[in-house]
Amino acid sequence: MQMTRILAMAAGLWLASTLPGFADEPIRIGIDASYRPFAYVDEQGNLAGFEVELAKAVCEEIKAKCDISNVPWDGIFAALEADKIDMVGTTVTKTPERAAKYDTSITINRVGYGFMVPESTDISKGIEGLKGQPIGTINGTEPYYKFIRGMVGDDADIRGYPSPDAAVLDLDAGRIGAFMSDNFQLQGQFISTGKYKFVAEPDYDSKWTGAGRGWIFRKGSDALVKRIDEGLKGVMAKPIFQEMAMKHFGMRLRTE
Amino acid sequence: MYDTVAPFLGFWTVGTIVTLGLSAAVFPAALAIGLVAAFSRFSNVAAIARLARAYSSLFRGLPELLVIFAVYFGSSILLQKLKATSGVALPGLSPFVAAFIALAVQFGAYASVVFADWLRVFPKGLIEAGAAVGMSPARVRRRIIIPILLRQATPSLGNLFLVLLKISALASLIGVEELSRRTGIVAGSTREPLLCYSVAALLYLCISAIAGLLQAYIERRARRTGRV
Repeated sequence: MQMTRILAMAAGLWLASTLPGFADEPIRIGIDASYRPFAYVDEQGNLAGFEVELAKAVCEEIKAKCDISNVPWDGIFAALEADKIDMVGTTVTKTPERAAKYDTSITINRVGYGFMVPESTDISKGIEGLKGQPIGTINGTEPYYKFIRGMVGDDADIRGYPSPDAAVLDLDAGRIGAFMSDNFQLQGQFISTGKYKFVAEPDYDSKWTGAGRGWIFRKGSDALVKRIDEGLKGVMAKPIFQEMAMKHFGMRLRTE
Repeated sequence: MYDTVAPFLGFWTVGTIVTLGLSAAVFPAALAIGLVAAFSRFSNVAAIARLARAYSSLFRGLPELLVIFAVYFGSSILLQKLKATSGVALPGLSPFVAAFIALAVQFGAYASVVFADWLRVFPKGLIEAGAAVGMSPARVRRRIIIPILLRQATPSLGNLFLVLLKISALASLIGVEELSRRTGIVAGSTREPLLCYSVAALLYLCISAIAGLLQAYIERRARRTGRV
């Protein structure tokens, strides 16, 4: 008797948990944790970094259960579309193309785009000097490709790399003339070591950087987007937001 | 330089075990599929023989990465459709299971060709001898053909296992945290990519060395005792 009741309860719970929209169903967040300081894995194998802390803070703010998993960047949009995750927790540029295809959160931060070269490079000619040279950037980031074409010319020789490390290895080897990425990554990871420098001041023009960076959802996730946006607004209004930025980037975030 | 990477060795070891575990799980499944497909090629039913041929041509021709993506994301999309049309919500495949299915089906195709080649030159006298002592065809297959087939095919199968070991790195792209994916994560977290990839290369060499020793042992034993 006791047993059947437990079984019935378990079955009921199981049934309820498989129904969409069940209140306790965790929000599945995918983040590519190979992108320090945005997201990485610490020495104990735990997810860490700005994006991970922000996602946790937002989940706490809206009292939601979140299930953060480490999803490779190459497959992250496929995972979103195939319903493996509910949200891309890697902050990505909200371009018009992406906004047409996916739902997006409010802007979390604005970034500048820049070109980086080894410290010994002659940059007296500025970005003009990059013309005719191969430029490296990250695969599958179409705003970067557009920016490079806009600055260097439509015939720019752009080489896509799966990670910043791979691009910088080729920059060191002289296979590319410059590495183009966002100023957080360039500054925090490479220029701060003193071995590299910007070719020119990072460009914040929204013509290139779009509506800043945010999180991405499947089309039709209105209810989830609303909840997450509320959580984001709550967290971003608190001092902890800029504290996390200072901790991971050594600089405050531009949110407007 | 080594100090920044050393704390991750435990994390890495787990990745190595996942790589080894995935290949070790896939290989017997691939051999089983390969045996069935190889015997089907010689089936008296023309449709089954054709189907077995079509299977090995198809999966030997497709890139492993595509098959892995098709199983992982494709199954999810099918489940979504099922949920939308019938309201039945089934849990999706985990990345590991998806990679297991994709690699087993694909390497089954390679193995079937290896087996079929050996079946073609299999000494007929042995099969007739089995029949002469009253064994049924199924028993002849189980007691005579398969043991000899496995023994003859060991060198080619050992080769296939090494290829599988390295191809299994593609599972990293759907999020299986095996050796390659974990190496990428450690490289991204420590900013020591060259050192990380060198460590990964060493770990892969260790695994293949162990696999090579195991293969040599099996071959030696097979030669001495006639058993696999």
